[in-house]
Amino acid sequence: MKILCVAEKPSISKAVAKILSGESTRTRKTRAKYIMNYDFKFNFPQYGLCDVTMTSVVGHITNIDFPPEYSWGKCPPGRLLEAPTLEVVSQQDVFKNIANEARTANILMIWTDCDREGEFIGWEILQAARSTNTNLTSENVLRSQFSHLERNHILHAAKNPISLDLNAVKAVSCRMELDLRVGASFTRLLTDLFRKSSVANTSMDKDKKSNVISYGTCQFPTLGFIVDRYLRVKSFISEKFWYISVDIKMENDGEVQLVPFTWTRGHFFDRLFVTLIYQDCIANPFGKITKVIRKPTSNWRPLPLTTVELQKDCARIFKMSAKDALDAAEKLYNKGFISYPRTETDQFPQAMDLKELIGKQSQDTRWGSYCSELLHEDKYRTPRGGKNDDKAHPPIHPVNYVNLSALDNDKLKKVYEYVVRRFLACCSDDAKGELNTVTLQWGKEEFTATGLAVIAKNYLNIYPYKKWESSKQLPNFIEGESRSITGGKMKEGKTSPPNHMTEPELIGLMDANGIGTDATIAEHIFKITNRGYVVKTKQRGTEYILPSELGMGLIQGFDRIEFENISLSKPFLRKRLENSLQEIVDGRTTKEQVLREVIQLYRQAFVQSAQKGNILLQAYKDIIDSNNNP
Amino acid sequence: MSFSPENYLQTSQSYTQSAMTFTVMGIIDIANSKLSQIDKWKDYEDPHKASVDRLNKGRNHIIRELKDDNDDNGTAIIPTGNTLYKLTLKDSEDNYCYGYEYMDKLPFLRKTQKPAGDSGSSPLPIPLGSRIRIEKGTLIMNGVLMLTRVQCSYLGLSDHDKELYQKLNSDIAKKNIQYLTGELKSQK
Repeated sequence: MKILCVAEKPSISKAVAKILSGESTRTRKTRAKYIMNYDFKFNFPQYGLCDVTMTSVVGHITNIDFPPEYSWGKCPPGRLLEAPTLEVVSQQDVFKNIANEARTANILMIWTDCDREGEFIGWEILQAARSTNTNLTSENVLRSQFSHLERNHILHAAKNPISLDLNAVKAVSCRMELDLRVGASFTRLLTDLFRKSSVANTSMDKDKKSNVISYGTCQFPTLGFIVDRYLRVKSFISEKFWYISVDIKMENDGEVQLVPFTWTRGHFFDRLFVTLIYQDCIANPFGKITKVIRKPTSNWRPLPLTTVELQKDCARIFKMSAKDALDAAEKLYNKGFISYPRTETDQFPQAMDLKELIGKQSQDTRWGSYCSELLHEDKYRTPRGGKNDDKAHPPIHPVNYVNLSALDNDKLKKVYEYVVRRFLACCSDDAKGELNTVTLQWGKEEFTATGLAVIAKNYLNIYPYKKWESSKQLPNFIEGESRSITGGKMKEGKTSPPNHMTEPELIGLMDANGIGTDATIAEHIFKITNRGYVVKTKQRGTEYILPSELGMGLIQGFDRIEFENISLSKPFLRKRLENSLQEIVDGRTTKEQVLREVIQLYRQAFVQSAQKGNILLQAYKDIIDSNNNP
Repeated sequence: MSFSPENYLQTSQSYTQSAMTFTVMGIIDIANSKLSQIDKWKDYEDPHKASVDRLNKGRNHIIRELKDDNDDNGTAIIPTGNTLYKLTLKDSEDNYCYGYEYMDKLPFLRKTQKPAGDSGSSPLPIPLGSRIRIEKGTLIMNGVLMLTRVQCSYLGLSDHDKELYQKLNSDIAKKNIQYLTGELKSQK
């Protein structure tokens, strides 16, 4: 019996073949660049000893497009919302290699990444195989489930395959069709509109890196977040607020210490209210210590690592873009050093042997001794569990040890070290401290002072990316005692302007609002940067993302068009689509139904955009004018 | 019974001598900045035009979609964040005064009371034109009423105030945005 195994990337195919064959493969070159076919034997429990050919694709091998009569300039852009589509083989050599190998195969086993996109690529592989062997069907195709390249995990995946998830295939197909129709129609509309306009033509070159103004259902909401923040910063007006603060003079170890107390009510944007309260307080020269509480406190170790957290932290700690962080993580995964880096899961499966993974890190000179402490000095703790489980992949964690000096570049080193330290922190105890809180009543108002003493740093010893330090210690207050108020003041403050958008914040917003997935968020940010819709700028060591004139003009233009109940620059429509795609996966709705509903919404928006193109151009012109004449 | 705040301007502490009914003419949250209140009103007026660059915005949308189907008074209960309200009140003789939430939070301002059929969740916890009752013995500080939960209760809308209710609440988002924006610009 012959089994054809196909992975999503050449590196995965090579690694899996090495494990399944026990490092005994016959390698054949193919006509497709980078792709090799590996022949070996493997004992599958359900089929016995089989001849296996392991090969791979390089991402998608087919695509959808419009027929030639719908190419740019040959039809009005709006027609693309309902034009027929064609399936096109985009990687001919890869397609042919699978078709050739499938001729003599009895079974097809898919080894693509275990996510929605991987499921769809599996379906594309099946179509290539079926072009020469119709005995291979969606009913008998096998799908291996794996999330990293650790030997036992791969062997288990080979011996326990499941079926291809056809609902996930339909969801991706739906998303691809919508992205094509909406993206192509709006991109052609916008590009033609701006190309014809003299205003846009003369000023566009400095903003844009190509002459195409692309529209994407994720790109524009992503840009919208940045424009909204930019406008918030620009239109900010500082507001006054008022609050009461109290100081009490105390002797502490022979020294006089001024202890500041904070009003438990915070501050208010109403002077009269604070004045009335303050007036009531100052009638009392003394305050009373009503509570002195010393209690243990903890600084929690981090949750297991998700893709979004990895991207946010790499941007915050290493100033690395989301794309660079994900690219580095992908490379580390392909080399077998870390688990699959696209995951929403923030809880480890109970059965997973985490101590074994810690053991593999014991040889490192930087964190090896910490690993030994975890394993041999009873310091290991079961990681905390978050609320998210994508049911496909565990949190990102190190799978195999590699010495940092053996990694190719600085980004790989930083990301690997971060993944390892984060994992070790997850398996450590929370940091422990003691919090001393003293409550003072002055008049009818309550004020508190706190002092923190860090007792055991625990996970912080291995996780330098977070700080938790002891504060100045409070003197000994006694519950019930009266204390003279040294300084009780009504103070005035001012609100400060918000900062422009940072990449970690943008990733957080996209994630919370359902714009893109853990796997695509980095791509969307990269795309709007590459299109010249935004620019990155550094201020006092922090990198901010600001809209360009073109980016501002496009968002403000779409906002000026009065669409009915939808917005092309806000996240709601895309979020609704993401929810609908999940419903397709869950079998609660169909691809056809979702296509019908969503295209109807975009059609209305398209008609209005086409009719009111001058509004879009005017918005862009206004931005240029206001920048030229501030 | 009427209440003339000017009689108490010079007195730091006195108490109401009898219970009184007031009509709520204005409500403002003094714990939050005017900018953040303008955001809330814009979001209420049209979510598609509101800014979406803050994380809590996304959360608000999710919370606002949850309605308490078991509430048979046609009132949706929507959780609110840290707020402290200042009320502009009018007595039966058209005297105006301010009332602040004082030592505790007034429960009727902690849920959104809306007439049945109103699907939006207004940033205002109670409709303008509603009536409240203030008990005898309520603290007055320099002519301002300091309201506590045991001394202040919500009476709802009176049939006599229908015209006033319409007048105060029509286009309320627009009016509040204008008012708050004007206030902000005046302090620039």
